[in-house]
Formats: sequence, structure tokens, C-alpha cells
Amino acid sequence: MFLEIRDIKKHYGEGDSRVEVLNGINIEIKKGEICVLLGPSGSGKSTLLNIIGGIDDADSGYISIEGDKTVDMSEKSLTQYRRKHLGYIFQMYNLIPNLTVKENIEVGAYLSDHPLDVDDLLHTLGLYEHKNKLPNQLSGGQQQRTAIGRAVVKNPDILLCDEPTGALDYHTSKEILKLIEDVNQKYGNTVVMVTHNGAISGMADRVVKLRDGMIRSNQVNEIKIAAKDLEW
Amino acid sequence: MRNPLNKRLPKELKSELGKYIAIFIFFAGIISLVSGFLVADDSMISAYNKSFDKYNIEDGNFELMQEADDELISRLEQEELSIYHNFYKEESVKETEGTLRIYENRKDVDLVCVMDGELPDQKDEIAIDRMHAENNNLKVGDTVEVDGRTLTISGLVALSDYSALFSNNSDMMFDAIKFGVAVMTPEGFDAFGDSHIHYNYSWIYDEQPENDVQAKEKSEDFMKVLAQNAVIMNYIPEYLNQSIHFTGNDMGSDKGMFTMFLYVVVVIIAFVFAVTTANTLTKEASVIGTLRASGYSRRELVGHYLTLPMLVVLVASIVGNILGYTLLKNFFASMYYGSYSRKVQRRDVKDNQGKVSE
Repeated sequence: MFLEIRDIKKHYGEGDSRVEVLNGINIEIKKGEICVLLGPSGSGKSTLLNIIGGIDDADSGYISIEGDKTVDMSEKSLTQYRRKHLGYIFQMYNLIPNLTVKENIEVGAYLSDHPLDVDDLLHTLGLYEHKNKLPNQLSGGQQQRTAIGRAVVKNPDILLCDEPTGALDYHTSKEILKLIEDVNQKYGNTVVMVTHNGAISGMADRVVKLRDGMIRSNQVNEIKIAAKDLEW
Repeated sequence: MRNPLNKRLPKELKSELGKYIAIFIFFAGIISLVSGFLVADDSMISAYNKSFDKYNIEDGNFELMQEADDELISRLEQEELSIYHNFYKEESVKETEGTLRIYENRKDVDLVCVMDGELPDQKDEIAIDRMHAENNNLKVGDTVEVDGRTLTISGLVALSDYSALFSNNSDMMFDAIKFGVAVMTPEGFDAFGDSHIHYNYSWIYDEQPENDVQAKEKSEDFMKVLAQNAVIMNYIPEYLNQSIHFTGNDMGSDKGMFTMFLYVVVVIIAFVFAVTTANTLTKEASVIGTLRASGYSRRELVGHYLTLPMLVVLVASIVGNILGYTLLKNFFASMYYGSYSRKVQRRDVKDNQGKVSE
């Protein structure tokens, strides 16, 4: 299995304020799959994504990518793991405000030994004519496309998306989802996407529903819906 | 591929120019002050310490009720030391309304450094202390009325045993306006008569004491012998002589004060850095989180966020040191020069034997 999430447990706080965020999560994801983690606020989906991304620690259990467990990695190895294997996309884009679109994407390219061609990617993202603009000169959708470009340009094995459409309107959200779908098909990255929007699960190969830190269902979509056809 | 984050640096500098200019001015100012002072102080302390040998400064002096005869001198010199006449007369000066302590030109001990003009070679010429002259607007060529005699100032000098112009060793502070020292030819000195004469003698040990404790023991032993053979009016071993040591002690304590000032400034700098860095981290939290999540190492990010302040501080340090070594060194040196009768401040001044000093 490409990505194995095994018996992950996580809590925050102690005593009366102790909250069990994740209660033994087990998921297996194949290479090239789009996996949607679906659940309401507080279900633990973002925490799980952060543990997969190596920016948060689990209390127990492990994450394994092609047999390499993150729990066994040193801080330095973990940084290399993020650098070589992961691309992150956030709800609020988190672009560097005083770098242009192209420079923001180059920030991702710099981390990879074999980055994608930045100009080609700008064309794919539909941002080529905006490449010299600063983030504050772009719409929300354009900013998120830039953030996707920054994550994808590394050609990572896994693309982690934390509510990538959470701050966007309906039409722009569909554009972004289509872009993620295109990137998945073109470059073969495994996509793990966190959302509370149930409609998005239609475009996934695998849908994992979470509630109160536990998996309520883990289903493979027999019939996928193209992102452009999603409705909500 | 060059780190694209570096492209942020000139933009950061431009967008926060005011902050970085303030940091630059603060650092360059402090560093120039401290380095200028320390360079001036170090060079002056070094020259001051060298002056003891260079000008053959005494190991002490004493004043007797009456002039010592040859027999007494011979007896005292059996204590493994050499005695030198260093008589002086204290005369009032009309122009300064103060007092001049006038010596004969020294040939062997407590040599005189000529700062301007020449040593007197005529009976009616006098060379007076440079600082006392400046405090009273007296210049080479001016005349002064000393005890009713009109004398021409032939030169401005520094007496090596009067780097601070204490008229009395027990004074808390010296008064370089009302009190000064001067040298004259033996003929000019004799012309004042003996009514105000002080039979002062200086001594130099044959073998120098190794430290103050030994100097104290030797001077106490010598004082006992002296007291058995003559009536002593005054007795000042060199290590207790404020006129000789006040300047060195003051420069030493100033250095300690400025070094402490530097430490305080370092703490302030650390505080400023901590505050500005904390502000930057708060402002950049989301970017830092994203970069860390993307795989930037802690070291790369620390390097990135410290580059600009370090660069500004580095340039400010270089500029501050250049200013310190050039402009401010002279400023601080001139401050000392205005406070003490320093004899080794300026280049190309001649001592009384015509040698060029450093």
C-alpha cells in the first residue's frame, strides 16, 4: 500500500479539558488515488491531515509511505520527507505577499530536485498572464491556483489539501476542484483532501467519513463524478 | 537554483526602510561612540604608561624645611636610590589671578615635553603648562606678570609629573585655571629670590619596585631614614601622587564605564532584536507555517529571517567602526586633551632634549 495510516490516536489538553481528537484511525490509500476526508468541524480531519503531513505528532500509531514510517524519522528526515514527498494546499492560500505569482511558485520549485517547468505549470494553471502580479492583485481563485502551483511544482507524491475551496465561491470552487483533478490525472499525485462539503466526495476515488475522531465509513467510489459536474 | 526567498530581501528593506534606517542609525551611533572611545582611551593609556620610562618620572618626592647639604644627600643615596633637586617657587600671576609653580628646566628626572614653541633660554622667558595656558587664553609670545616681573611665554609644555594639575596631593580635585606649572632657566628662576622657595627633591630607586606593595615598603623604609636626618615638610611617593596617577586612573575607570555601557547596549540590542523578531514571526506566522510544511528546514527559515537585520547591523558596525576610528577617536582624545596635561597626545612634539616624541 502506498500510504498507510495505522491506528492513529491523538488528544489535546489534560484533565477535564482533555479532548480525544482521533480514536484509532486506520486508512490505506493507493498511489494516484484522490481520497476525500469528509466530516463536520471538530471531527478530527484537519488534525489527521497534519499528522500525515508530519507537522503534528500522533499519540500512537504511525503513518507509512511506501514502507517508511514518519514516526521513526528524525526532525531532519521529517523535513526531507515533507520536502520530497508532500505538497500542501491551505484554505487561506498562505502566499508570500511580496513575491509575484511566479516567484511564489518558484518557492516550491526550489525544494525539489526535479521540479516541473514553472512556465508550463503557469499555463496549466491559467496564470501565465498574471505571473508578475502580487497576491493582493489577484482574485481568491487565482490566489488558490497559485497556491496549488506552489504545491504541485515540486511534483510531490502526495498532495495534501486542507479545505482548498473553503474560502471560495461556488464557481471558483469548481474551477479549483477541476484543477486538482487535472493535476492528479496529469502528474499522478496521490491527493488527500479535507472538506466538510459532502458534494465534493463525488470526485474522489475513496471517501472516508469522520465524526468525533472516528471513521464512520470508508468507501471506494465505484462511479466518480467529474469535478466540473459537481453540484451543491 | 537560487533561493527565491532571497528576492524578498530588497523588497522587505524597501517596505520597512524607516525601521531599518532607525536600527542602522542606532547601531552605527552606538558602535562609533564605543569604538571611538575605546580606541582613544587605549592609545592614550598605552602612551601614558610608556611615558613613565620615556620621561624618567620620579619614584617620589619630598620637601625639606631647609636645603639639604651634600652630606645629607650622600647619606640618603646610601638607601639604593638617586636624589635630584627639584626646587620650585610658587608665584602669583596677574593675568590669571592664580598661582604658578615654577621649576628650573629639568635635565634628569620628570622631563618636560614641549607642545608648542620652545623651552625658555632667556632670563625673562617662561614656558607654562599647555592646559593652564589654554584655560587662560595664553599663547606663545604673550607676556605675563609673575610676582611683578614681566615674562614672555616661550613655549607651552607638559611636565611629566603633572598630568593632572593638583597643587596639593590631598585635594579632591584639581583646578587647572587658577593653578599651573612652569619652567624657567636657572637664571630666571633665581631672579625671584628665595622668599617663596620650596626645597623639593625627587628620588628614583636604583632598582624599581615590582608592585605597589613593594613600592609602599620601600617608601616607608626611606621615609624613616629621611625623618631621622632632616625635617620633612612633605613626602609623596609616586604611587600616591595624584598629579601623576589621577589621569591614568581616570582613563582606566572611563574605559570600565564605557565597557559597561557597551554591555548595557548589547542587552538593549538583544531586546530590540527579540521584539522585532517576535513581531516578524507574528506577522509571518502563516507564511512560516506554510514554508515549514512545504519542507523548508528550520535553519533555512532562521537564516532567511535573520539575513536582513544581520546585514543592516553588519553594515552599521562597519560604518560605526570607521567613524569611531576616524572622527570620534579624535573627539574623545581632544576631550582628554582638554582635561589633562597630557604630554604624549600629539605627534611631532619635542621634549626638552629636542627629541621627537610619538
